[in-house]
Amino acid sequence: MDDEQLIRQFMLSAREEVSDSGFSARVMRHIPNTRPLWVFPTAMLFIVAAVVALFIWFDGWSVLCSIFVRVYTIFAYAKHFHFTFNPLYLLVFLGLGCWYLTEKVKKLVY
Amino acid sequence: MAELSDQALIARVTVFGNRRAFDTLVCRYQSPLRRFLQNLTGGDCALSDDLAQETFIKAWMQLATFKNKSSFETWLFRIAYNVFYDYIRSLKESQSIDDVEREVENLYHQHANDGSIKADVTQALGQLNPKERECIILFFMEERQIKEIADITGMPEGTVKSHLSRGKDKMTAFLKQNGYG
Repeated sequence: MDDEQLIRQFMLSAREEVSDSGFSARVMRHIPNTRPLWVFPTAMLFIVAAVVALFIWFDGWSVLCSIFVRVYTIFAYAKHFHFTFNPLYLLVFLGLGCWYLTEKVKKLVY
Repeated sequence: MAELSDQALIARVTVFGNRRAFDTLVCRYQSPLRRFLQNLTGGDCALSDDLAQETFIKAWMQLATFKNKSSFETWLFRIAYNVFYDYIRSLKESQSIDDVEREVENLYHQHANDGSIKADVTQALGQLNPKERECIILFFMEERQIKEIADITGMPEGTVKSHLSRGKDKMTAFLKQNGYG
């Protein structure tokens, strides 16, 4: 065994994992709040307002309906079932999409 | 969130101020960081925990300046190293290099025999001067590359190599004298 191996073995014999024992929680209690609490809700409000404004401006409902009808028709054709478009389907679809996106954003932020 | 990479967690902290992502980073790196500081302070657990806490708080505040040139762990160790020397300087009014090194020695030997780290390793490291000790701890205990040690300590790679070489000689002599060779 050469000198370097000897030292390495000796040093590693004293190396041990330091257990957390509440250290991380203590650190997190002392971490200052760098972002005021109102920033996220306000930003979300602005984004939602912008999306709604664009939706109204570009007649989003008819655009969405036509996209949904096309996709639904292709799906119905592939699955061989009779297709009748119901706007309720689109609302449910949009609702689920919004819920999914909100959950994703929440995970990123909190 | 534990399975996310450091980069993904850092992005969440810097962009969204996500505290849970930072908590994951703290949990991931608390052990090597506290061990490094314990070794620097001669095994003073309370002091090393305080310094580690300050290190993480500084990391939280400065995370936006992390440029990905080194690994996050190396960056964290560099902050810890600076926090340790800031602490040493705060102990003394005079801040000459000799004073700082003397203070590091005092701190190390004050706690070296309190049994909190393995006594033989502490005693062996006590044979070295502070710079040699830091290089030996980072190289052998924390298994860092020369370049990383240079990044952490701010010394040129050549200086790290010569500290390591002198430290190895002293350690080898100590180990052979004490029946390890």
